[in-house]
Amino acid sequence: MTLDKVKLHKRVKIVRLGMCDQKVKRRLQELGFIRNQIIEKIFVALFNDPIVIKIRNYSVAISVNILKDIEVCE
Amino acid sequence: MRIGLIGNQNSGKSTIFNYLTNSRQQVGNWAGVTVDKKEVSINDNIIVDLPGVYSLNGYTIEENITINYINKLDVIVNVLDVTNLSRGLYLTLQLIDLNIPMVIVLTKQDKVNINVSRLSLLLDISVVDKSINEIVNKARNSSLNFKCENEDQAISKRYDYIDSILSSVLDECKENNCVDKIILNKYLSIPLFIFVMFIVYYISFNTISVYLNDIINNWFLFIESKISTLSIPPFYISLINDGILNSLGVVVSFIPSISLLYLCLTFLETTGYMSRISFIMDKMFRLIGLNGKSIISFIMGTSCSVPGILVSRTIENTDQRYITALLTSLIPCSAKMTIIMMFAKILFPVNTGIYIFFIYIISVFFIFLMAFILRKWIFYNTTNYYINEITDYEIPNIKKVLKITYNKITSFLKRVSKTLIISSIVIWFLYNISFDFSFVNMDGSILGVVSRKIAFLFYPFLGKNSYECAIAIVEGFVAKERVTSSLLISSKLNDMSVAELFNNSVAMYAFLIFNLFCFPCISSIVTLKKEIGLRLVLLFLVFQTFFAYVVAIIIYHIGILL
Repeated sequence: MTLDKVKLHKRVKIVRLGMCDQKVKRRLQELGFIRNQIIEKIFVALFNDPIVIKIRNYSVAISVNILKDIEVCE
Repeated sequence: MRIGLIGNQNSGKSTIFNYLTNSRQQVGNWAGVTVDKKEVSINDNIIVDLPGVYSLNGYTIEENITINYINKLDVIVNVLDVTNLSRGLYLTLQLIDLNIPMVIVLTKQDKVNINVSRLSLLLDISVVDKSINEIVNKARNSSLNFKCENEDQAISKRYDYIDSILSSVLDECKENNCVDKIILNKYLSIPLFIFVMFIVYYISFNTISVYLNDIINNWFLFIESKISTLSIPPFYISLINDGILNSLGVVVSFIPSISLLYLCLTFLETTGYMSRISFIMDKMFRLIGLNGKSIISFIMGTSCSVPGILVSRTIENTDQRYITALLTSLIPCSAKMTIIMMFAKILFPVNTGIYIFFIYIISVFFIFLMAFILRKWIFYNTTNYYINEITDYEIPNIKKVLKITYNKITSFLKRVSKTLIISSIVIWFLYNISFDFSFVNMDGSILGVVSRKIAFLFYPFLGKNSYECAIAIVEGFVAKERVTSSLLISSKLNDMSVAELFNNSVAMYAFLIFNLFCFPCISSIVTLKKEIGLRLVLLFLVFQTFFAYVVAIIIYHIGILL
C-alpha cells in the first residue's frame, strides 16, 4: 500500500521509499522517513493534495505525487 | 575567529544573532526568514548568521549558501530548537562529523522540559548560554562519529542514536495543536484565509488610518500655507511647496495605513500561519506552475518586492523559483500602494479599504494569468512536488511584533526619503527649466518637451496625449512612489487636481493597472538579474510591459463602451 491511499488519522509504518528522484528521497530520509518509522496522515488540503504527515513529533506537508512513492504497512 | 550560527530553519538563529551582535536582523515564525548570510564583527570575532538547513545536503539556493560556507568557520554554534529536537539533532550529528569545534545553544527551552547536562554528555558537546566568551572558550570537537560508507546506513545510525537521546533527555512530548483542526480544515481553510486577508486590508486601510492620513495631510497643507505667506521669492515658495512638501506630504500621509499593514502581516508571520497558508494554497499554485511556498514570497512582496524575490530561494525547483521571483515583482508593494491609495481616494472616497482589497484581488488574478502563460510557453517542463515543514504555533510577543514592524517602517521611510526628496527637487527643476537653462513655464521645460515626444505611446489607454502621465510612468521606473509625487507636482504646477489630468475615471483605471503591471523599479530589476540572470529578466520585462499595455488598452476601451 502507498501512503497516499492511507486513511486520515491511521498510523502506518514505512516500508520503502520508491521514488526515482534521489534528491527527494534523500530529503525525506533526512526528515526521518526511514524504514519502520511510524507516521500518521493528519490533515488533507482541498482537492486532497498536499497532505500533512506527522512524523517524529513534527508535521511535514507533502504533495501526493511524492506520497505515491512511499510504501507503507499497518 | 569566524563563528557561524547553524541550525534548522525557524530554529531561532536570527534571534540569537541579534542578541549576540545587537543587530536588528528580521525574525519570524516560518521557514526561510534568513535567505542570505549576514556577518557582524565583534572585537576579534566575526559572527555569521546563516540560512537554516535540515541537513548538509543542500536542496535550495539558501541551504547551499550555508553548506558552502561551513568550511570557512572556526567555530560552529549549533542552534537547537528543543520543541523540534528530533529533527534538529539530525543536523547536529552531521555537524559533529565535520570535526569543526562546536557548541550548542538551545532555544524555546521554556516550552519543553529538557535535561541539558544529559544532552551535553550524550553528544559530547558543551551546551552554552548566549555569550560570545562562553562560545569561544567551550567550543570543542565531539568524540562521536556517524560516518558510514553507505549514506542510507549513516542516516539510520543517526536516527537510532537520536531516539536514544530523546528518551533520556525529554520529559514530555508536545501535542498537536487543535487550532489546526479549523485552520487546516479541508473546506474551511481557503475561505478562512481570504477572510483573514480581507480583515488585514480592512484594518490597514479603513479604520483609524483614514483619520491619521487626513491629519497628516492637513498638517502638510498647514505648513504649505504658512510657507506661502513668507516674504521670500515665489521661486523658492514653489520649490518648497510644489516640489518637496506636496509629494512628500502625500507619501508620508500613507504611512499610518502602510504601518498597520506591516503590523498585521508581522503578526501573522510570528504566529506560524505563513507555513499553513503555503500548505493551503499549494495545490492551486502548482496547477499554474508555482509552489505553495510562492505565496510567502508574494506576501513578503507586499512590503517590498526585493525581500519577496529573495525569499523565493526557499523553493527547491528552479523553474518554480524563477516564476515566483518574476511574479513577485508584480505584487503591489508599499510603493505601488501609494499609487493605489491615491486613485482609491479619488475614485472611492468612501470604503476605500474595500476598494483596495479588490485591487489586490484583480492583481492576483492577473498574476495567476501570467503564471499560467509562463508555465505554458516558457517553463513547460516543470516537475512539481512540495515538501514543507508546518511550524508550531506561537503566541506573538507584542514587543517583538512591534520591533519588527518598526524596523520595516523605518526601512520604508529611509528608502522613500532617499529617493523622494532628491528626485522631487530634480523633477521640479526639470519642469521649470528649458534646454537653455532659463526658467520657463511647464510647456517649454525640459520635461515638458521630452514627455510630449513620448506621450503618444500612452494615448491608446489614456485617450489623450498626456505628457504629465507619460512623465509619471517613466519616473516609476526609478521608484514606484515617484508616480504619485510626479502626478501631484504636475497637477500643482498646472493648478489642477490629479483627477483633472485624466480624461475620465476609465483612463485613471487604465493608468493604474498599467503602472501596477509594467516594468518594476530598478532595485527589483537588479535583484531579479542577480537571482535568475539578465536574459530571462529582460525577456520578462518586455513581456510584462506589453501585457500591462494590452490590459490597460482593453480596460480603457471596454470602460468607454460601458
